[in-house]
Amino acid sequence: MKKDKFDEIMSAIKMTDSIPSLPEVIYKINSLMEDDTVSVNYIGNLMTKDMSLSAKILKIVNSPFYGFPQRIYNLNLALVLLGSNTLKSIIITSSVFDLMKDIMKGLWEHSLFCGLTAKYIAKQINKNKQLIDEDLVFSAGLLHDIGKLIIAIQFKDDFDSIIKLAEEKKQIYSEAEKKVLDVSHAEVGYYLTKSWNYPASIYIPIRFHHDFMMLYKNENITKNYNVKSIADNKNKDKPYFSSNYVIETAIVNLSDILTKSLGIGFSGSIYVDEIKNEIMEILSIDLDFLKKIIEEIYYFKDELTVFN
Amino acid sequence: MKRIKIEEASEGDVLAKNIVLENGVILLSKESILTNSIINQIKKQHIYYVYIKNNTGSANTSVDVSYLNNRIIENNLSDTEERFILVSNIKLMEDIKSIIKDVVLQEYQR
Ligand SMILES: [Fe+2]
Ligand SMILES: [Fe+2]
Repeated sequence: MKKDKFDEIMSAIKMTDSIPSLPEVIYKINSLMEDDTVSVNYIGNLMTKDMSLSAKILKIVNSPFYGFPQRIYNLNLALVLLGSNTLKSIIITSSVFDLMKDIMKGLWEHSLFCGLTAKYIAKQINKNKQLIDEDLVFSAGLLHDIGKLIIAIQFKDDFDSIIKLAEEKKQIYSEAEKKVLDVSHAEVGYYLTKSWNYPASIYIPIRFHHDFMMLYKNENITKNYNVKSIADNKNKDKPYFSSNYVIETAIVNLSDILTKSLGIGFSGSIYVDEIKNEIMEILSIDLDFLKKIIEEIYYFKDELTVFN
Repeated sequence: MKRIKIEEASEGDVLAKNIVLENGVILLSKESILTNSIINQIKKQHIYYVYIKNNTGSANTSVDVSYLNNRIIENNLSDTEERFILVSNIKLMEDIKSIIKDVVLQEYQR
């Protein structure tokens, strides 16, 4: 029987303090992020106190797959170069990593691979266009399934039945999830990241990473609206933004499906969902583009253990 | 005993299992100590994984074949097939599946 867990889950999110082992430093950084005036140095110094965390962050940003053009030796510089949102995402994800490993084997690999893939796709689309913020897309990819973690912690039995159902009935995770819960991990992730003061460029892709067509229709997107036409008409003086982050959402959705297609990590069900034609259209990409992406990202897998 | 990629093997590693070629010929017997030139020879035979002894573990003496390459390819390809069962009627997804299978095969042929 389907349970109405919405209120329960939402109140669980509001008290994320109840989630075990999220390190102190996240709460401090969260409250600091609410205040735009806090200096980068201050956050950097705070993080430096946690040596294993700092080491992990530097490992990630300096890995060849993150593809940052220069080597970053200290966290303050990382903050300046990557922006606080990206760094916060890495901190949160690597902090909950140990938790992830216990609760859901493979979710960390799935998340990191999805983030790296999203960034790589954004980079290939950008080329010399510079439309998409690659680091924000990385963050959204990294955090896209964070809602699963909350559900897994707070409602272990429901979470287990979703996974069991997906396996027995051969369904994608989202389908099985709908039969067990009234709220999706995408919604939970959305409320969570919103409450952490993340920008809409991150929480919108998280919210719609399984409901791309809902966003597409809500925004009245037409075939004329795509990366190519946006780049052609871009006003050099104006920063680009896509209509309610529909392009960023398309990239996260695509990366999630590619990650599952390659069987990297585990996110609750092994089955691959369809890549909608609208995603290909809005990103102005074709099968050849996907082929090049797959041939490149496949080898990311060998490096995932570096981050353990 | 542990299974490692041949790229990860280094001089001084001790084989925990025989390396048997597909035609049944034993390329190297267990207890052989690897040198750089032996490692290169193994690579030339398109063998990607070997079993080496680690300091604590004891070798499994019952199985003598370390050349599992073909089985791994098959498992990998059938896993890919299984993952795509829900989207088998969609052209784009079928195309992606065959791209992935090619990539998997290429990795073993490198
Ligand atoms: Fe998801
Ligand atoms: Fe996912």
